[in-house]
Amino acid sequence: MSTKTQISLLFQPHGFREGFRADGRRVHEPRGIQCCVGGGRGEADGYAVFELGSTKAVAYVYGPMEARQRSATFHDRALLTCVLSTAALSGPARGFGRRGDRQSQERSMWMQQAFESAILLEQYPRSQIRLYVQILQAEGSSMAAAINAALWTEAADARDALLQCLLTVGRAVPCLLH
Amino acid sequence: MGSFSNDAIITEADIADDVPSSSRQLSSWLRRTRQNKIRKVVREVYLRDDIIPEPFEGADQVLVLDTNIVLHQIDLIAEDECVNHVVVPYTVLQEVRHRNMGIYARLRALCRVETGDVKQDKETEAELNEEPAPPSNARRGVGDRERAKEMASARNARRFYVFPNEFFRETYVERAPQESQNDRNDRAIRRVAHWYRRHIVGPEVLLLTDDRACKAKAVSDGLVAFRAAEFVERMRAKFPEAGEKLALREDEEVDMQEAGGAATQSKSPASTPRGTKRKDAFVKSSDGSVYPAHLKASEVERGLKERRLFQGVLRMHMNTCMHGTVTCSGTEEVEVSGRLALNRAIDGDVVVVEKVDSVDVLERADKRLRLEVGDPDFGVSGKAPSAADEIKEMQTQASSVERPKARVVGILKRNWREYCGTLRPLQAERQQEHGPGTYNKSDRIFVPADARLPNIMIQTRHSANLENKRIVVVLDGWDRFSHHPSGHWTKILGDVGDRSVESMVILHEHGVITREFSEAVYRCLPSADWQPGPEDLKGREDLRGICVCSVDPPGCKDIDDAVSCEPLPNGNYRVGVHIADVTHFVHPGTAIDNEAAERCTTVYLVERRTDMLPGLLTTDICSLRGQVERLTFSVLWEMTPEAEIVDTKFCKAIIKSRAALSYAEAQARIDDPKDNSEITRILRTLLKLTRQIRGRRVDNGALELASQEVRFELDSETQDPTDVAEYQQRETNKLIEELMLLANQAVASKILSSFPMFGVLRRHPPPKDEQLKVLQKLLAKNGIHDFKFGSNKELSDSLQKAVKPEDPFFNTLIRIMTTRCMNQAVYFCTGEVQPALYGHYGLAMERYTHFTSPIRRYADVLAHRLLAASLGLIPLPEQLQSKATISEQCDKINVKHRMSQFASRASADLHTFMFFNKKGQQNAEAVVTRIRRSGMQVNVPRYGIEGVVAMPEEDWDVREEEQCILSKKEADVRIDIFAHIKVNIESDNSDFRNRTHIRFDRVIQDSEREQYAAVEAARKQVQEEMFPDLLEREAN
Repeated sequence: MSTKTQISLLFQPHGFREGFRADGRRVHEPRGIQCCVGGGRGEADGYAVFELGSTKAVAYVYGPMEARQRSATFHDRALLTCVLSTAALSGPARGFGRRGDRQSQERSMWMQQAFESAILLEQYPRSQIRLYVQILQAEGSSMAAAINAALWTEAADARDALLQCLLTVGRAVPCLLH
Repeated sequence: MGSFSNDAIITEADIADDVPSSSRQLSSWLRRTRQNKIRKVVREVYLRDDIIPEPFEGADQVLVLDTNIVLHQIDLIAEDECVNHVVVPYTVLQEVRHRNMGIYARLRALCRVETGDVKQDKETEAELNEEPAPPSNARRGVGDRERAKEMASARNARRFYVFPNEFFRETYVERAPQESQNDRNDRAIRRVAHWYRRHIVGPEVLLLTDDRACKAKAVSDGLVAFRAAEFVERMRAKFPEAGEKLALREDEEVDMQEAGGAATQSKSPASTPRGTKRKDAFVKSSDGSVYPAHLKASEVERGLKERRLFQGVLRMHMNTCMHGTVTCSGTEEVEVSGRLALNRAIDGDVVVVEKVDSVDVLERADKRLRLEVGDPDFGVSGKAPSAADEIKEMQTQASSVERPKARVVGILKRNWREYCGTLRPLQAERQQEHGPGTYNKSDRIFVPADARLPNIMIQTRHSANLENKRIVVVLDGWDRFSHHPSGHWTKILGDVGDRSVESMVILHEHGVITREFSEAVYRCLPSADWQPGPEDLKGREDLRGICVCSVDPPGCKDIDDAVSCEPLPNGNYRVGVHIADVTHFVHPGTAIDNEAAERCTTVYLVERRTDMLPGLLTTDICSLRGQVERLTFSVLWEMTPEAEIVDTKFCKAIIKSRAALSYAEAQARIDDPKDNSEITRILRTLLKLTRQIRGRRVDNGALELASQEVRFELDSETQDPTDVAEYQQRETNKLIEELMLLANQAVASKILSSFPMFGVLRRHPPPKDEQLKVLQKLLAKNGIHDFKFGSNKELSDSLQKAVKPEDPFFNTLIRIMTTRCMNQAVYFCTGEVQPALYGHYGLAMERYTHFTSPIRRYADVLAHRLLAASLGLIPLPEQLQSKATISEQCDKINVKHRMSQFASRASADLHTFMFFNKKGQQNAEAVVTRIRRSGMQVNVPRYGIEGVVAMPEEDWDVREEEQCILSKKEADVRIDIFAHIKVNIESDNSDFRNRTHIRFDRVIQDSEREQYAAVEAARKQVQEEMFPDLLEREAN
């Protein structure tokens, strides 16, 4: 469910004075959150699965490690690369949001900027940190799930913890959109 | 139904057993996408425990509704007093929402009144722009507000409650592996009833369902379940009038059949005719059916694939419910005639047809059916079909000889709406039984106002109250055992013959939106005492200093155009056309814009107007009245004194009109040599300039038709032939008209150059040659041989020359007939049509759009937005950013526009009818304009009406090819086309359709002919009498 449809469902005047959402929650109730953190799986140095209702994101971190491309490294800090992709059958729009399309790129950039400010990149000069996030199931708030999953991978030292949540204020009722 | 296993049913009543333990459930189902792919949808549901039942204090019973009840009996639920204390399970709400949005909105409105947080509800209601909220705007009368309050409180008396069963742990029902979604939902609804029965103290819980299987299961589990009809009977003691809005369901009809003859015979005498007829039908057909059964869906699908069957929309011919055309696969048309071939399909239905080679068998069966139904109680469109009907029937048959015949074998989609009409009166002896005060059930025949529909059978206990009233009826179904479709009435409009009621019928039948503007729309308006402030002036040219005036029909309140003209130092003139800046107040995407986009046009009936925008805007804030500052969107030209355009400029501006004149006043000023005021000087200059523009266009060859075109339009509407006196008066009309045409043309070019793909223009395709060829032949017979129509210029010249010195009306007639050959002008999206087709034939312009009346046409609003965007004043609104949406909107405007024209014409017909109703039979001279197989079309100049005159075959030999009629009795009587005859005109309301009949009286000699001038004078007087309060409007 995209955010837009969620909002419209939320404010559909069903005539409930209780004000339920389409899935039975009230305005202030978040979806069920599940998180699974692993120390490393296969080659990855950090790993986390984050579930938000039925939205599911998995994040892997590689590094800090020696940069593959020497030319692209910085002498004073680490290079952070973020790739956000969406599994082909994750949501109702098939084949949309896969790696390389415009929306994924934009979201990857967004995530990269967020984490560049949070991770202590100066501690790892001339190295590289690669962060891969894949959305396995997209049922709304997938960006929030992705960032939260990446947060939990815990492979590098960070100065801030990043958390994302979506909020909207409709008719003077603040509402959590997760 | 019934695929669900038995052990589950046993636990159904026992709620504690199968309550899910987890609070988060995943429900999944398969859905077929538009591309015919199967997709699995998984949704989470959070189950909760904190739901408390509505106590329904003081109720002695609580109703739980099933989906089928809501879908089929919404009128009963919404309006009948006996339905009270209702629990609507959330499952039902959702199912209804998927099936039918209209019913969903009504159901939701019912539930909403009950909810506590009224304020927020109202807001959302208004926001979504659905049910008009109770008015609170100061613009509307206090009476309205009171009435709305009363209505709200009346609705409040009945209590509806939505039960969120899908989110409640104890009522959540998981779909079993082999269970269909439908069965699951039925089970969920029964679960609600069970749960309520357990938890509510006092009232009895009733389940209302029309589904037999569901009812049986409920009863076996100890629930009390009723069908709608049974419930109404049960409530009869308390509510004697209950069940009026009850829809007759098809399966019930079958039930009655199953019950056999005994049941039908034991009914009250009032319904015996129906019973006996049924019995006749029993005799005739082995299974008692009147009509053949429709094919199964699978057979239809196969047939369509194999191209044995064809699919299309059934369109009935004018004035008959017996003959229709189905357009299959875009081009091919097949004819469907007769009740059996139509097989219960009605106008507008999407049907599947099978071609038939021999229609004899069908026709014979049909004749038998017709005889059978000819019984007055059944009343097929008349036991003695009126002559006009017959003619129309004949005509349609004649004109469609080559078309293949077909019969309906299946109906894919019913396209039923609400129908206006009247009950056929009972015969005297039966009237006794239905005197006032009795609530006996009786079957009545409903005659729809639209003659293309069959009569409808309704059951009512209000017989006496509905007598001689215009009522609205909804169709419920048409099974193959009954001759007529069955329906039920929903509201009473008023007395037959009352002018406002009849006008309401016209509006209703033409789909004109007449509802009040909603609260949300009113909220989009500026305050009533709005004055342009500094905010509004931003980016506007200040033209308050220059002399602007408007010229409109007398009494015009919505003035949307004004003109100006000032001399420039270099000897040129700056000519301005100032159009009310409606889009300054109507922003895209707002409630007011959506409403206007829905209405598309202001509809003018003879005596009333149905606005596109609220009156505050149309008659006040946007109306360019005299001496008031108003915002405009202006087109300014720099013109040389020879009326050559040097420069064109578009801008938003603010003006202060010096005077709002009527055409006559403006003309008087121009003609008065002593008057030398500024306004008059301006008008004179403009007149000079526009004359030159017009004159130049004559020289270029195109103009003459342009002016003619407008006259055509006027002709077709008011049948106004022009004469010298009128021409003088028309000069100011033409002045304004010419400037408007110029502005529209300029805007069209500008829009097209800026948005070649997204423009909204108006095009007028050239007429079809075949029809003009027919006209040419007719003229050749009358001694006019050089009728050419190769180009619009040629046509215009030919029309000019087509005169008969001895018959001054002749030329007008030819023009009217030419108008009839013309195509409709349409709005279109420039991206969807080839540039070669952009032209406007009638006005002889390459590009044309409508810009000058944004108050009463939505197309002009679009043009305003496009023009503003092309000037960079606003970004291009979303609605104008895709070809598809623009086209859709254009199509909607075209349809609404045509319907509004039809409505105007119907209104004129109504007034004609009322005129003759008052006057009684009249004798008048008529001119024959066309001869068809069994009659002729005539125009009666004295009354400005047209009609068909039936010429019975026994007495007359009608030769369609030669376009003449010979008498079989008198040898020398011969009627040619354009002959003058005497006719009798009479009103006829035997079928409640307000018809005016014209009957042939005698042939007259040339010497007997009425004088043209006398006819003209008489016509004017008649028009005044016929349309005493005609609303005048411009025709540009």
